Amino acid sequence: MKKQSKMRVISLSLILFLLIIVVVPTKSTAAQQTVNLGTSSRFAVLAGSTITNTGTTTIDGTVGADIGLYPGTAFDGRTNVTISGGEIHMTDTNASKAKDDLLTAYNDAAGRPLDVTIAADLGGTTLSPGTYKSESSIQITGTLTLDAMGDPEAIFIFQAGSTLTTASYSTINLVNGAQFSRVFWQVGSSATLGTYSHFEGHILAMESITANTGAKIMGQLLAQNGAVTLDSNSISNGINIAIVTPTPMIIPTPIITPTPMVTPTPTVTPAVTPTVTPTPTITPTPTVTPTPILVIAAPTTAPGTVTGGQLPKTATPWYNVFLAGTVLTLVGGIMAWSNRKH
Amino acid sequence: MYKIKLTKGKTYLVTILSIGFIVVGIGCITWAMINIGAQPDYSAPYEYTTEVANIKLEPSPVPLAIDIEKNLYPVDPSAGDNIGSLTIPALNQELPIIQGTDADELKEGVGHFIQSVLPGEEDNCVLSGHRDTVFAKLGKLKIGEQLIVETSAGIYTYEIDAIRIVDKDDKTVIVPTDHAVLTLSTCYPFDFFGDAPDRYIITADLVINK
Repeated sequence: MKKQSKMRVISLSLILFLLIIVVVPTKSTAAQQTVNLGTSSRFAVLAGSTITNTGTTTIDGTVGADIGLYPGTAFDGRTNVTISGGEIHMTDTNASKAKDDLLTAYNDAAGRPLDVTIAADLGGTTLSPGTYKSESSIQITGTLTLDAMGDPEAIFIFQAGSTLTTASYSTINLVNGAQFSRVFWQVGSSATLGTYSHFEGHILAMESITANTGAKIMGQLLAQNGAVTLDSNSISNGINIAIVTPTPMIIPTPIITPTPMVTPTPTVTPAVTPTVTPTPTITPTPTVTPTPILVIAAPTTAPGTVTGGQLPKTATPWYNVFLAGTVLTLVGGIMAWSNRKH
Repeated sequence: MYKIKLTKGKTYLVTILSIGFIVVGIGCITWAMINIGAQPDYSAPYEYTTEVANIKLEPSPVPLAIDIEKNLYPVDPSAGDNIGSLTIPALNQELPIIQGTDADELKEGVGHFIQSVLPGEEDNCVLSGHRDTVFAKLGKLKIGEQLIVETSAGIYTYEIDAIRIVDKDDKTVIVPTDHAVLTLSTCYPFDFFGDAPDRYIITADLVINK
């Protein structure tokens, strides 16, 4: 009897083990989901109150180089903005929908359970994929390195309780497959990018975003309620294809100050006040004649083939189902046989 | 007495369990086999037979010599759109080409990798398909055989110039090229159980465009 029950336990464990490794081979490595930006993903710049530009700013992107404003109406200095692959949505339904989607994305990013609480200044550190939070502000002085450890799908989410500030000439360096399209900065109040700094990722700010002179952004500037201020910037909103350099020795990056006892902070529930009353005073001013300096190119999905694209997954689950079926039948047979024998 | 009853109960349970496993197991096998075998009939008699025969009489010109426009498609297709067909004379197959390479699109036919140019255009056009449906016989193709793509922009004949097997994460396949190239990719080995670790890659140069 003992022998029989032992055999049964072995059989059952065997089935479970095989089913787990066969049927769900990818689930075990399932990483964090990306933040769904919805229609706001097409916008390189999105603001609530105003957009102001000084100097020559260029905006492009394979995903979309749109500029959106809602409910505000003032876009100063637009004649010096060169857009390629996008268009301007001033207080229209597209901008309104994008703002709604931004709020959803903001709440999603803000609600992600944090992995590590970070120090106020990330300059000089190297971080692995995960969700990082600072109760107050996040500062980047010097270079912040984001290491995807060879996984181009890796997600980095940063939650700043109040502000995000990058110093002049600061840089974000993406290594080992990290992609700017998978880096999200959820900012509780406002973000300021230093002069001639290099920034990577989507900024989802509750209030305003200021990009100082010459700041280069690979990603998006999305401000929910306030203004976006630009000054001679270059913004590129696209999906970059990470080139994973084969690093045989990936040294596990030391995660900074892992404070295990973090008091669960009430997520910043952005109370979007229904002040979005359509201001009737703004009668469609006919002055919005298309400015000739503005270059708007037709959106295209693929101007050319990308370099180093990920080969698509071309397997169906049927071979796995077949294998699972064979294992189940075999185990069932063994159980029946041993049972009959006893 | 009680012990005997318990033993009988246990034996009964094991019998039910084992029968259950066998039934579910056979069900899985049958389901999988039906799905592996239930491919749409792609071997429909294609209309290119005479056309292809004529084409073969011509010597293959140097790929670069062909004058191709950079942008043949005025409107970009959306994911899920049928953008044309891929005919493989050597396998007697005509396969629909769908825009996109997600699971939904690959279910419908051969998927066009969105971040690559459309067929016929100057650069690398990448098409992918399931190894156990549309591209199940891809391993039978040889260098020199033809692949014909028909889209709204025209009929493009490519000639296979290389076949290779690469790792699934290889980043040297989807890259820009200086002339019109058609790249076919599928999982490899063709009958591997589990997630196939490699990809079977066929590259072909454009030799005739009409």
